[in-house]
Amino acid sequence: MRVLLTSFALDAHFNGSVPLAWALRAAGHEVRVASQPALTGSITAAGLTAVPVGADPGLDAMVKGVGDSVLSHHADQSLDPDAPGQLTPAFLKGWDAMMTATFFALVNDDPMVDDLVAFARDWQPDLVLWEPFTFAGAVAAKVTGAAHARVLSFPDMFMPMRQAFLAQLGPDPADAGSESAHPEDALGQWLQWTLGRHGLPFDEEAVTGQWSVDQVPRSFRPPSNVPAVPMRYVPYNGPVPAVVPDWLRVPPTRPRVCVTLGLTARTSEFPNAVPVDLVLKAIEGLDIEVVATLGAEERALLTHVPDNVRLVDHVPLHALLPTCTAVVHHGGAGTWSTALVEGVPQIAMGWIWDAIERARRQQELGAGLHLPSHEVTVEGLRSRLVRLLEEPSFTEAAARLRTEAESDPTPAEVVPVLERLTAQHRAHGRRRLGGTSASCVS
Amino acid sequence: MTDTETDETTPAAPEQDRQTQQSDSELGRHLLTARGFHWIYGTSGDPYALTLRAESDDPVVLARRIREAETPLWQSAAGAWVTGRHAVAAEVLADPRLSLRHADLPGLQRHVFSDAWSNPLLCHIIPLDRAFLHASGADHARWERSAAPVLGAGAADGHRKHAERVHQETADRLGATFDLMADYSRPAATEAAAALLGVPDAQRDRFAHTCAALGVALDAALCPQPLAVTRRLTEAVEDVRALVADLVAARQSEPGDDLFSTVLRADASGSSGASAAEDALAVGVLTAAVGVEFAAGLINNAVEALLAHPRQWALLGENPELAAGAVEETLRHAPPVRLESRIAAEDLTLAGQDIPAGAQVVVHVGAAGRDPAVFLAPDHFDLTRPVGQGQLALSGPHTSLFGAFARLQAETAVRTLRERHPQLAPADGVRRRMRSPVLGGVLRYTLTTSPTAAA
Repeated sequence: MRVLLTSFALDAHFNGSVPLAWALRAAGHEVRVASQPALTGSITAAGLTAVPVGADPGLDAMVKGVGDSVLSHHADQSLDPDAPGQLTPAFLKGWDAMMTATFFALVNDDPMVDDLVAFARDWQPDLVLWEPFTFAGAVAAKVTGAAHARVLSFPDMFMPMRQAFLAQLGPDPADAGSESAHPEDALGQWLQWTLGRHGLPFDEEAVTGQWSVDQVPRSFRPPSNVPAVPMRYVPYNGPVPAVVPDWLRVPPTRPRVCVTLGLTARTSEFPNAVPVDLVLKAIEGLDIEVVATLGAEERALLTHVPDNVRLVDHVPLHALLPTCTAVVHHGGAGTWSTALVEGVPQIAMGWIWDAIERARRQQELGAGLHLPSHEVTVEGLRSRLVRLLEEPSFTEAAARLRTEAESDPTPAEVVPVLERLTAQHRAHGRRRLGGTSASCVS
Repeated sequence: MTDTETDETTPAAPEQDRQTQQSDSELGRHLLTARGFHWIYGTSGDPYALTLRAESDDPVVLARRIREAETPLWQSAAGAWVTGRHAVAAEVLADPRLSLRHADLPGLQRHVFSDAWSNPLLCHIIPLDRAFLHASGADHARWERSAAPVLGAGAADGHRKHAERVHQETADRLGATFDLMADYSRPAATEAAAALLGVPDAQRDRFAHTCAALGVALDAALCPQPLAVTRRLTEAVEDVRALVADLVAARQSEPGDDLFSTVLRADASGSSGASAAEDALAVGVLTAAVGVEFAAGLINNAVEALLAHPRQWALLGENPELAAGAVEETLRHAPPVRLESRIAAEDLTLAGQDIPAGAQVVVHVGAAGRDPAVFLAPDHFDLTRPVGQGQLALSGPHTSLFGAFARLQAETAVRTLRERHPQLAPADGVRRRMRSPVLGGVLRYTLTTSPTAAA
């Protein structure tokens, strides 16, 4: 079959779908990855075929201009739908209004959506897989009659928030019974105009997809009424050199701790909430070996590098983490997921969006400790790290989560499920599906 | 609705075409982005941004915070220079260098958001030039002058008998429980406006429908409305223009002593060169787009204040002449137009601040009306408060043009309601529209004429 995968142009949001794309391709399916031109290099570096659509939406300019305010609305805000008093009406309304204006409608701007639709009309995909904020994928699928699903590589806090928000709005008082989006539902309104431009009415499926491919272990999945196909997270670190250095082939003599602040803050305007210098001060003097993956700009912020610290620009995380006793990181989804499937206890900074829930739940399950923003101090970090190194229960709990993650099917095992779901969901009267046979058709 | 254009010579006509041709995606995204900005600038607690956000925050509390800011005139995160101090407000409202429009932007006051996330222009959310809402000071002065024989304070007594009849008829139709806005204030104000413009009976329903859609106009200029509301508004603007243009044309061939004939007769051939017919069109459109909602809002706010103060409601019963005082006090305590927005025509210094040309200056009239530097016990509503200096609620070009009209309507309303329904009481709290930072438009205000029966 023909699978169109789409993600807005940000590595951190694209990386999570790469192993599934590999699996589909290896099963003989045609795979195209559409994004703004800025992602073309990352797509081809992953060995996939790129379709550049639209133009640079100026995400960095937005973050520079209003990022602080948008982030401040969400900082330290629990997104746990079960936490009492957290998802307040004002918070949800501001979330919908701000995120739609500054992000959803930006990374899916009209040129990008229309270009993607044009490509899909021409190429006629059977299935569109979309990064959960790349709603352009849903639009392209609906226009062409393709089946479509979201690919989740972080806990889907979005969907319970969306559902709480819609419940709070209730029916549109002025327009009861109609299928249009509520006038105060910014995301729905915007999708309504976007679908309307292509002659289609709005329905909530453009927000939810027909199903989700969910790579988050079940202990971290929030309640959702969207059907999910569980899939094991297979680490892919992105378009960076994946080379095993010589030192990594020698087993460590002391407990090894990995310190990483991820890649997004290195390559975008998105701020990093963890001061690098503070992290290294916190580990100074501990009887451990530290591998800190820091970029040049991050290193420039260091005032002092303790003796027990090895600075490296980049090392494949899935090669490094199996040698580590613990990992300290910024809370990003890729790092968190890789540590989880490698069974390494983690200290995750959780200050915004789903990073808070990942870190909080991880701690609840005993597999790590949450570093909330008010605890980002030398003492706050050091005391947590000492506990992780001294209490074996963390390693045991991390191993349990690893087992849980491994119980989900691999991307290769998910491919036949997607074939079946695609046959069920796409519009009728289309070309034959199937692995290798479909590749003959195309 | 295709009868949108009757005046072929109006220079703004091609602009209007462009506006209606904006796709849902273009206009919708613009409104959504502006709304996003109001949310964004409100995250720091900025009381002006929160006022424009117009969500659950108490507007009176925000007004106080605007007034009590450290400097009398301060710059909001939303870009505008804002004041809630009476002295500065009076200065701004009287300053001819501050206008409703950009001096260097002829035609529509349209601001397209580019990728400049750091400096969006939020002073004219949508261009409402077709409704004459962003007119120059000179235009406004001329309209007010030429309409004065009918709209001015001196002419109010001549309208009183008609107003009394309209209000009595409206009151006669009320049930035991009714909605003040939908069943009384708006119908009465609409009827009065229709009479003023000479709208024929056959067009009254159309006129009422159009006025209702125009009710958000003053809000829409500063606070993005939902797309559907915005579309209804811009359609209503075209519809009322067509309706008024027909009426004006009829008066041109058959003059009388009505509003349009009066404006047409006035010597409008002054410096601007605008035609008398265009002036009559402007006055007529503004009557529908501003006059009706302004009068209805004043009625609502006056009734709300009186019912919240039963002793004063009783006082009014003893002395119906106090209706004028009740309305005057309402204008100060809860003005129906809360915000007045201006653009600096040149670099100027206001309250010690350097304001560059093109900057937006906003007066919070509601805040200024409760400035303790001017008013004793300013939060207290007192219909016997001596009428003194300092009424700012009628000092804007729109509120000034329709001040006498709104006053007469509101005075007649409170007298009529007090006389007919001495037991009048709220059945529920006032529900105001969201996204209504300027007007605080009433969505629902259920009253009962005999509270014991309702209870």
